[in-house]
Amino acid sequence: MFAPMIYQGGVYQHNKILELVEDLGGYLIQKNEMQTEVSLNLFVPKEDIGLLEAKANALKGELKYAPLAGTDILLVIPSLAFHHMPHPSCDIAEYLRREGATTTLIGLSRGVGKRIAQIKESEKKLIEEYDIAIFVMGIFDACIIEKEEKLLEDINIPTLVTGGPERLNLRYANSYVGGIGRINHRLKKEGEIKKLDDVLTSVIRLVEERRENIAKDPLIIEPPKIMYEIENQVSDIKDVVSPSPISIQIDGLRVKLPYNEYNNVINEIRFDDEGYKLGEIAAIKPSLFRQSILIKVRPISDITTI
Amino acid sequence: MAEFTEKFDIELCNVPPMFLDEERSSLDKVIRDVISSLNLSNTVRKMKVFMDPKEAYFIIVANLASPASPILLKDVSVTSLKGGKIALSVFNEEYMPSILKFLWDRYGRENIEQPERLDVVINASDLENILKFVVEDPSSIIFNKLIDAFDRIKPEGFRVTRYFYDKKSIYLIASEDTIKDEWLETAERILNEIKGSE
Repeated sequence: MFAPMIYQGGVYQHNKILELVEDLGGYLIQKNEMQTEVSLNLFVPKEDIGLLEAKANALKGELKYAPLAGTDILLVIPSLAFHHMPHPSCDIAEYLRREGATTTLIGLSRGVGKRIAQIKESEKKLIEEYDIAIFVMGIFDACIIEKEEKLLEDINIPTLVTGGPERLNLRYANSYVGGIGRINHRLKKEGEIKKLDDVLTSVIRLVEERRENIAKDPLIIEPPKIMYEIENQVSDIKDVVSPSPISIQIDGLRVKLPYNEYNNVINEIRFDDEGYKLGEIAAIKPSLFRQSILIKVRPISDITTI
Repeated sequence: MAEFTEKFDIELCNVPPMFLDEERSSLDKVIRDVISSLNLSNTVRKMKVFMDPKEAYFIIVANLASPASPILLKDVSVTSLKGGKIALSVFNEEYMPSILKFLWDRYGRENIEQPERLDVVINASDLENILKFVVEDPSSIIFNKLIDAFDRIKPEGFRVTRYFYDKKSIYLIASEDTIKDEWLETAERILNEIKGSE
């Protein structure tokens, strides 16, 4: 079982951390170099965290548990207008990224208003590609209740709604965080940071519930292992300029290569120690998001059908 | 209420259907943020906001302070006559585009020299005639700024709007549906209230 961790420290000798993680059989998910600092999102075997901690201490770096590393979280806002951007939606996204999540922000094409709010079928499919969706809504409780019924109906992933009223009973959302309505300034006051913490806690709870559900019928292969093999076997992934060419999800991963050209290559990826190829153990689909490839790994109970 | 002090008052109307307290404080913050970020806090003296989230319409009424007087060329520059030419030195670069456009239109580009960024030499001697040129008239841009501010304050989906503006007060009604006559009457009533309270 892997534990998601973040290492933050100097660039100098951070390779030693990477070498140790590789020796332990762990994986590097994402690496951000910021001048002299480096931040590494890692998946490490749980029983070996002590070794890594010792190494991090020796390098004067910091190792912390990152409950959201390896999750792909989507923020949905009614539109990309200044009523919702950049505050509070970007503030929430940034706060989740600090805990290791990969975040994406989308604005709905017709999500604004109360009676006129709509969501397209393609938007629902796009939302369902992610692990968790956060809907950032406005101030008025009557509007949030009506909109929530329209926008969140039949979305099959865990959803969280943020809005102005402190408490709301919503029909479809798995969780609700109040006190964040429309805000036109950066969330930096004490009470506002506390609200961001509330969002974070709710997201972590949803992620852990999802991970627990998956653990009941585990995936045939852990997504970080697929990521490692893609990096080794598909050399073109090194030319992708996106900050995270491969983003890990709880039950799969997103590869930012065009589906039409790389579908076959991804399908044929083989794993040394196992006898099968990727196409047999995972559903490989074109993603609605910028032509990328979406890989959803099958659970072990599917193995009899292979 | 917002923690910083502003010169204007905001009243979120308290007639039924009322705002909930949380809605009231959130909207109050949004309004104060928008008004101060658009530099309108000296313009708006009093503001009343009315909204019915059930029927979905939004009314915002503001009483305006009298706008600052127009800025003339003589207020923003030093002028002198030298050898039959006018020398003009402007204090603030912000006003240069409007001043240069005026001078080019009046004397033609060939008669205007600009030796330095903020200095102009004009090949003419009728100094008195240009001193009263209006460089910027704050009252003409206030309307656009107010409409911009109201657009940011009102709920985004309320795209059907109707407004009234008479330089001393302004109101805007916004909704998802066609504007009803009774909403107009409510807006007029609030406008009269706000005028009467002066």
